[in-house]
Amino acid sequence: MRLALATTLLLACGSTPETPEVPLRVAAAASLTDVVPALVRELSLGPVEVHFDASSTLARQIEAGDDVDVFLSADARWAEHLVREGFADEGSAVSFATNRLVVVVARETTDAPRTLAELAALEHVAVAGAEVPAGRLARAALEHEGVRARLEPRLVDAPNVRGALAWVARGEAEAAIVFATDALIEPAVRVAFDVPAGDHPPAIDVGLALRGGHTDSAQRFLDALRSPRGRAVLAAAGFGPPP
Amino acid sequence: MDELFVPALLSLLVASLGAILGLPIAIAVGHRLVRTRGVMRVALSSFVLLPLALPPVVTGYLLLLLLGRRGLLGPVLEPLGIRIAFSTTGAVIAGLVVGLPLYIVAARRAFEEVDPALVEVARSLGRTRAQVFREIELPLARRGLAAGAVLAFGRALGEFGATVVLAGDVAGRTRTIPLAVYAALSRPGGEGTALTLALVSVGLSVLALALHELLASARSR
Repeated sequence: MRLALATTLLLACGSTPETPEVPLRVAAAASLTDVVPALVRELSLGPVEVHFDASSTLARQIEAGDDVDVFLSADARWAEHLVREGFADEGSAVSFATNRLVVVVARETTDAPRTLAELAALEHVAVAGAEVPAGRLARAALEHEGVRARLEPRLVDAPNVRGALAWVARGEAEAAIVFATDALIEPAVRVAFDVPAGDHPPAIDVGLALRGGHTDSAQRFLDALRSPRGRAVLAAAGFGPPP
Repeated sequence: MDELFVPALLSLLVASLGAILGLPIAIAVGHRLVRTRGVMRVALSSFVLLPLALPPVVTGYLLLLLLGRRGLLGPVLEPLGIRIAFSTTGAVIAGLVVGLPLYIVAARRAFEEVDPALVEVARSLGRTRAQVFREIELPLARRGLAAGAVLAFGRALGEFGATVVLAGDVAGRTRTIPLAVYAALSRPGGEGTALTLALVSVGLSVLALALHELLASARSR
């Protein structure tokens, strides 16, 4: 449906043909779209089947019965929600990276805004939905700066953070509030300014091994993300170290 | 309450405008199709029916390539102040385009059912083509066109894919019932809203289809 971004890819790296394994099923936040395949490749984590979308959407799908072994969320909130609902063991959520929010504009923009307050001068500012981590943190930052009410009529919701990025890349929205790592992957946009880190709760990427038949391999997958090599791959994609 | 009324009103507005704005197009193309033969007929008919077979998301994307700010017609629309993305205009265009094939098929059938003998007699009495169209064909095709309008209305009511790609999901501007249901389903505790909207949606669709049935059976008598 609307999820142009929700792709499932089968990455079968590092597994030998004599050991046919059931692929590990991973549901990952849209902001991890590019780094997860890189991690799987670099750390030989395959075979895995990855599905990307907003963390909130994935959490809903898992609750609705989607068979998933690993959930990689762009904030702690949705991982904690699934723990509370009994989909994973208490204390099993592990943070593996951090992120920052930035405001992006189309690359050729000449008169780019420099503060969140200046966004009010634009026609459309794309953000992820209010329940999506990037959208929730963006709104928290606007609230903190006291400009949320003024900006609300100009905010256009994308189903996930990459959707907000795409609206700017296509020139339909003048700016978007996205993660710093998203800004890096889209050549049609550039960062206008960083959203002050103190304006919003920290953006922490959290992994969760879900209850089911493959909890051990799910745990190994998460351990690999936190290993020195895993951190190096994440750092190369612009992610900060876990807190 | 706004969560229910605004999407419902917006849906009615988008679907009604689709049915009204589509009428001249359905008449023109439907009438043309009756008179066109051979390869041209196949070509024209495949082109106008395309949105029926295409995934709505693809229709939306093609419309974006055509009408978006960086689209083919973007440089024409921009100076006129017409913005498609995030506007009700975009939602109306999406609804109109996905409803058109049904509208055109209904119009073609309506014109096909007009007795050719009547047209010939009128022509032999010295009426021009335009007069024959206005005084004979159009009045006789009236019910069929109305049935087509109801179908196009119903289709626009359910439009999701093309709308979300072309116009985005903006509360109060493009968030029609289907988009509101999807938004409600993707947030915790939204099930109640989703269910109410689903019931409204069922009600409106049943009304539209019943109206279509009435018009269609009245025509066959």
